[in-house]
Amino acid sequence: MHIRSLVFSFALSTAAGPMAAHTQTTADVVVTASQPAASQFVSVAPSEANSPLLRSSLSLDLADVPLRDALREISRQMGGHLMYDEGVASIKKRVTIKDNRIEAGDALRQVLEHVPVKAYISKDGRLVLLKTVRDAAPRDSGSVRGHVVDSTTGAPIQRASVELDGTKSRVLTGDDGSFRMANVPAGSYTISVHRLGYKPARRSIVLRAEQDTTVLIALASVPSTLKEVVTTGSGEQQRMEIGNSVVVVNVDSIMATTPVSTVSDLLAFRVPGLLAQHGSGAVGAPTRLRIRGNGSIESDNAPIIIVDGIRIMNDAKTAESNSLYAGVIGGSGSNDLSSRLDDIDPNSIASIEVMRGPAASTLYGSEAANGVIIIKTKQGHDGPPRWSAYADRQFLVQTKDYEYPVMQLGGPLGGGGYFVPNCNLVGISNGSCIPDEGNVVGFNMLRDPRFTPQTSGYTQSFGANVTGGNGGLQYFLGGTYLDQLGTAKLPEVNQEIIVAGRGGKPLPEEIIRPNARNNASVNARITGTFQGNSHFALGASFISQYQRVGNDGMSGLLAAARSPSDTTPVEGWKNWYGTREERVKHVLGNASLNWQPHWFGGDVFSASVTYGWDYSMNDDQYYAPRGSCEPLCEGTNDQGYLGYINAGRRTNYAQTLTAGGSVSLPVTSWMSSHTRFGANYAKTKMYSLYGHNDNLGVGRGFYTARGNDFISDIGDERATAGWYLEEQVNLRHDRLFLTAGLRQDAGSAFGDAAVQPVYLKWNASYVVSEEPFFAPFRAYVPMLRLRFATGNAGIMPASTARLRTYAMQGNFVDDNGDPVGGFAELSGPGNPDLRAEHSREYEGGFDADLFQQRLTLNFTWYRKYTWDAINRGPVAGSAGAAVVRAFRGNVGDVLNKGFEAGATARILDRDDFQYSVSGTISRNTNELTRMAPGQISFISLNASGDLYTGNYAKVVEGYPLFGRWSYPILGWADQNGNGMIDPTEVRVGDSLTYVGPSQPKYTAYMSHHLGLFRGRVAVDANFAYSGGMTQFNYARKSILSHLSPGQGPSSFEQQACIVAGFPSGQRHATDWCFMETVKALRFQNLSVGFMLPPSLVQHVGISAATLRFSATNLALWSNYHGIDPGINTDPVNGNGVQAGAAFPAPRSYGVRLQVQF
Amino acid sequence: MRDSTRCRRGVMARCLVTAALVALVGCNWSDLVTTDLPPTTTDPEALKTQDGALSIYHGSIHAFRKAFGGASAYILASAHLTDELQSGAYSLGGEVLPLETGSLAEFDSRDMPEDPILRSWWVESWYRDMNMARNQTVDATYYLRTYAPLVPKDLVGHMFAIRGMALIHLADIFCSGIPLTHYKVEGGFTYEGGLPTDSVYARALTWFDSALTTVPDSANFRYLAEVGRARALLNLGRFAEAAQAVQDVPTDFVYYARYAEDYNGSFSNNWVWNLNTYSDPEERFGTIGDNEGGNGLPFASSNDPRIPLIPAPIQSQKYSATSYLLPSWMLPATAPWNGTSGEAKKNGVDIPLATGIEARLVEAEAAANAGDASFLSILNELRTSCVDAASCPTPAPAGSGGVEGLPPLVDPGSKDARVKMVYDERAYWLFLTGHRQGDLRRLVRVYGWPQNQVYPSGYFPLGGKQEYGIYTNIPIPNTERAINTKFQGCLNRDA
Repeated sequence: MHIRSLVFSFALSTAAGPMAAHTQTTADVVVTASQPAASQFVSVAPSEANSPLLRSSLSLDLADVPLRDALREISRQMGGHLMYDEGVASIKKRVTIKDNRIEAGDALRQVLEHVPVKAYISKDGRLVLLKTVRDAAPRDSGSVRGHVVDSTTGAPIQRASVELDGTKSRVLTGDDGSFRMANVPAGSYTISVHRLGYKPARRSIVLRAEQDTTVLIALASVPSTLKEVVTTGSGEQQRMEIGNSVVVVNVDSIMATTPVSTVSDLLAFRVPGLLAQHGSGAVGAPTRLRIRGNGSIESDNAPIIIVDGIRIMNDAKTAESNSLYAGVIGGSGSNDLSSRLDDIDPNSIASIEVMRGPAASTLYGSEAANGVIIIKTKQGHDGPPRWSAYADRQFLVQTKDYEYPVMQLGGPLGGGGYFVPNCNLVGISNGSCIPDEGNVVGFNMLRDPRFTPQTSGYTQSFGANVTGGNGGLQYFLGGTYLDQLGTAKLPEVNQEIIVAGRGGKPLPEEIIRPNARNNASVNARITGTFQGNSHFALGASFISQYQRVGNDGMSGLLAAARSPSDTTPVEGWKNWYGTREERVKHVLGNASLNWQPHWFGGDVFSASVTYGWDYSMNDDQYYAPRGSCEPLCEGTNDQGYLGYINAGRRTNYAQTLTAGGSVSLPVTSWMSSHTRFGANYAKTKMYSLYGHNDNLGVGRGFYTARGNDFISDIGDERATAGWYLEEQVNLRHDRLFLTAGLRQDAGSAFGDAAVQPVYLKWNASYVVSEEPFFAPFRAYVPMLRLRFATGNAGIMPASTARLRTYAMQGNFVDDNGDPVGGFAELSGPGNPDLRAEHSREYEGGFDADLFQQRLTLNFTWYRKYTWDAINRGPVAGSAGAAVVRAFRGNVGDVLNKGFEAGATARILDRDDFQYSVSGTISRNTNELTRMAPGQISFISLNASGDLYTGNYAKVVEGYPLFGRWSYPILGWADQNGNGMIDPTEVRVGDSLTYVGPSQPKYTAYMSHHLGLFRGRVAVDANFAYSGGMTQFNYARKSILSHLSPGQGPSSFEQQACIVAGFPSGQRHATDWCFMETVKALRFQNLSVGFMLPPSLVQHVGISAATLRFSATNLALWSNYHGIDPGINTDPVNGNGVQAGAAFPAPRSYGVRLQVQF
Repeated sequence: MRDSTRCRRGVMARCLVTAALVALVGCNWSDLVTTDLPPTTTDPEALKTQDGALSIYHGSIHAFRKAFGGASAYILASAHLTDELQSGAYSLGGEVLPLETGSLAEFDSRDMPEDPILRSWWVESWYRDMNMARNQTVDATYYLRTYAPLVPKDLVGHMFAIRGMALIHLADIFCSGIPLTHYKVEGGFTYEGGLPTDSVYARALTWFDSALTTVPDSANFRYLAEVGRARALLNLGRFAEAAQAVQDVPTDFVYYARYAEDYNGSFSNNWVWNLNTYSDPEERFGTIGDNEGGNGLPFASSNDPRIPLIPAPIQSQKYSATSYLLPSWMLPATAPWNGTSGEAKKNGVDIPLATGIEARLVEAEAAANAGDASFLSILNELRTSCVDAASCPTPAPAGSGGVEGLPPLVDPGSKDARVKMVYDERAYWLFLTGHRQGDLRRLVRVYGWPQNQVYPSGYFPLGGKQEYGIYTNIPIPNTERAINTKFQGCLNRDA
């Protein structure tokens, strides 16, 4: 029996506003026929009911139609307040009723004449019709029949446990929510009903001999994440059915309490195990995402991202290969990676689900080993148009609390001339420089209004959307405009000098304020149903974005601002003459169709197909027109910086086609089977044309450049196509769920059909609390689920990784001495045996509700083992490769393990006062457990991915990938007694020593929510913690090394730390002292929200309005001796981290108004 | 009843699923995932053409040229390890400096133990290039045969000969235990362990044999293979066969490794004679040896017209202890050295790899070894007869044949003296062409002469330990042992 399609939804009354997420709604409960006074539903005969519902006027013209059709038509005209089970509708009675003005009650009475039906009506007028059946029964016994329904929606509740206390009578409700207990001795009983996700109900009934007692029990739903529908590789399932953990980020609730400008902001810290690394505090700065640590040595460690079923470009390697983009948008070099994820308007997103590893992402195949982030955009609903609009304004400020950077300046501070003394410790100690301490001052530039490169900025945005629908069609249309001005500025003193040098010609705004961003987006989505069994969705987004970032990063704004010297005026300012800008046009489109044919009864088979694409075009440039620095730059060595351009045009294109189906069948009364299968095709393509010229003519003249011009084109395509099969068996009346699946992939890197990796998975989910034996504990632990999952997924190497490659060269001279054209020079020996990286993950854990759902807990332990990790490793000379790192091989194994835990405590939960605390904590450790012989350990990866023997990030067996290594400082002594430590007076160890991992070992997040006055006022406060990561504090090294005693380091220890970076003789340079293992706790945000009185706002046509005041980044507690430990400016090969002198995250104060009408 | 119905339906549904899965699995998924190559990657399909095959063929030759006398220059290593060239590490202040690892000065000192030190990238570079030449001939042979059926088959034979020559060079200078990694056509390779020196020469011999079966129409390639074959045979102690191998090689035959001054910068430049890029040319070259280490020949003081000398055009800025002489053929042909600038470009000068003179010298060595007095007539004919008088240069570098002013030699009588005479003649005729190291080592390894009577020995005045070392060869670059797990280091350091 299939009641769902026959029951109207009453869910329209749920308020969806920013405050709703913090308002726990507890529905009134259970009603039976025996307790009409306390119920919502009372038993009535249709003819007796005095309900406005039944008095509504209908117009009917039905001739000899099935009873089902008649009820449907009556329901439709009644406006959705009539519910009936299929037992009524399936009666093969045919009816005729023709009346264009008949009351609903009369119409029902006519069509239900002689139909065994019992009716119930609720206080708010909902009418339920249930079929009654009479069976023969022993004379001294009777039977109990009934239905269990959701008290809010009226939908039948399947598999609910119904028990008669004191007896062994226990049944489960069927598909239509019905149950029956026959041959029950007459007497008084208490009937208990329990179902996961609902508040248990107990009611007394009196059972009389030879009588049927019919009851309707409505259960009030309670929040239960296990009931939540989440996306898996094979479709959507209830969370309790899958054995792996899936994190769901409820976007609306976050947006309600926290200023959010990007999707990355939504994810940072809120998903245990997910690390969002910011490259800078500048607006528009890129973010790198890592989940459960690094598994790949060379391959990308970023998760794949899917928006409404469609892959979007998130290929960090692709970004890396386009150095211009990276150079333009923050960061210090070509490795500051980012994806196009942050183009997407967070206001358009309904939810984000995160699969954190192969145990969950197996069916996504060869590019999913780093996890999958699934974004679902908002969609419409049935009903009249509902408008929502918001306006948000945040004021950005920078704190002045950082210890560095210190600035050392010579010359009269009040005059027009300054110089940056070149005396550093090394120079002073070796006598090449005599400090003029009397004329030099040292001070923290951030605290000096004339020298600071920091100022206030803003973020403002506004948007609106409308949703609605009618019957088979729903729509959502929204648009947002975001405008941001970063906190960077050209320091006043620099402005003065430059403007004076330009003969008073003012500087353009984009030079004075080099960091800004705006983003306009329009999102539309249409969903609908046709022919009763097909659902479709069409979605499209258009994004236009502009951003500019000055040369932020280690050698960026702060470093440039530290050099306002008028003796070499251009050197410190040359970066300020150009603008680094990016313009993006980004379009996403998708279409999906879901079809549930009537075959085999209509609820057995379903099929779906989804197709979509993601297209973006970047227009990046770093441009300083010729003449922009004149006359200041004339005659200097920096003429090359005049008339300078880096320009890149990049297009990204991704397309996805997924088709799948499922077959669901009951096997026995206690077991059902669900088979899912499908195929998936995904292709990403990037093409970039990049050019450079540093001696432009008048005007841009790029393509007719006369100077040191070059141009390059870069491209990359990747594709995977695979099929999957998954079998899920539900056992023990939907308490135990066992799932096994596999995916096989072909990939563009694999070369031929013979190499198609297969990924396997299985998982189990056991809702222990639903078991009868658990009943005694249910009062304390209403819900307990145990889960375990394991699965494989892969990372596909680059398309060309297996190929033997030749570099084509020109001008070959043959043996006769004649030029005869070109020649091919072996550049990569190729590895036809190269395989995809494999990761196998085990995870297990539990979800539990305790103390009447006042405390919810979840815990997940995981162990992710990656083997065949690919490295572009060294090739021995006998193989004949011209370059050392030319050979990609499956050479390493990597182990990530850790745990993620979360808890939510509803400490106070009254109507007018709620206080809850939730928190998460995660731990991840990473180790390169095996490195194939031949991967010599001294070869690690530098920023260019080439040979590197330095002391930063290394790849060493037995240690974390990209861990920090350095030569230790063993001691120092002022042997010559000059009061200073010079480089020869520092003893440095001969061996690189491991310092610590580059990524946090622990992250934690704590969220406090206080609700007052029935949720009309909400106060939220969030704290984020990360610890255990070792960062190279480049800023401190850079700045201290340019300070002489008196203005900077005073202790021998500090001096030793600095001069050790400048090798003497055979001694190694080391940054030992600047490797800092960091802990950081940040007061991330505080917000106070007010739901404005409806009586006030309704006068102006607004149904609901919320006003929120917020502040972010309010405090930072850290042992870090630098600027911002949350900013990592120099990833190594896209995988490491380094803290530089980039701008820290700003503090913001803001207000947001959101209205619905 | 209902369940059974549904089960029947389920069977039907599963049949559909099975059919769908069969269709999915049966798909040729590889076709779906074919992608365009990045624009920076040469399309492998483009190489599967005649032009592509020729490009790989040219690339093999280019790699060999580069290793032999190009950007890395095996020739310089050979010359410094022996008595042809010398350089040192005295500073301007006169103090003795340590020898930098892998430097020419270290080669000069013959003190190169096998140790964990990563040898210089200079050694690494020509070791890699020589192996690239050796390996790329595998691809070239395959592509020529498969995709260029219309080009002369001689090109395949040429590749075999180049491969053999690369092996000769590897065997000449590296210690016993040379890994000849197996290179697979169109992708991948398998590392190999070290082969004894004899085995490497033997393998070179097989490649020369293969070359001779596939160069029927090209005299140039055939003679190259024959001279190479003789060179391998000499090193295997098979002197009579060596002489027989070169009997039809004309004395005026020269196979040049070609270099070009005007083409693509360093890609095809002669770096043995390239002096323009260093303010201190000694860093690149050194100076002409003169009785180096007692056993060395008087290349500088003998005034042998085969090696006309000039004084150093640019005085060493770093070292003061060396006299710094250059062969005059390093001068530019059209712009006499003015002594004031570093513009002595000789990037385009070709270097003889195999010559008819070498063929005659092989015959002379075989005769001397066999006690046949004809060796002397062979040597004297070379010294006095210009094969092609019209084109005989004056003075003549190696391979030109017949040099005015050389008196006839006199038979010294004993076998060893005769052999010594042949080798001295080889040293002058084949000066700075990458032969001297193989010659001296052969005297030790095949003839059994003590290394300290063959190589420069004794006091080494130019830095380091100030004493010549004991090695007649150099260890394989240490990266090989670090990466190639089948390679465990030199089998021995004997000659």
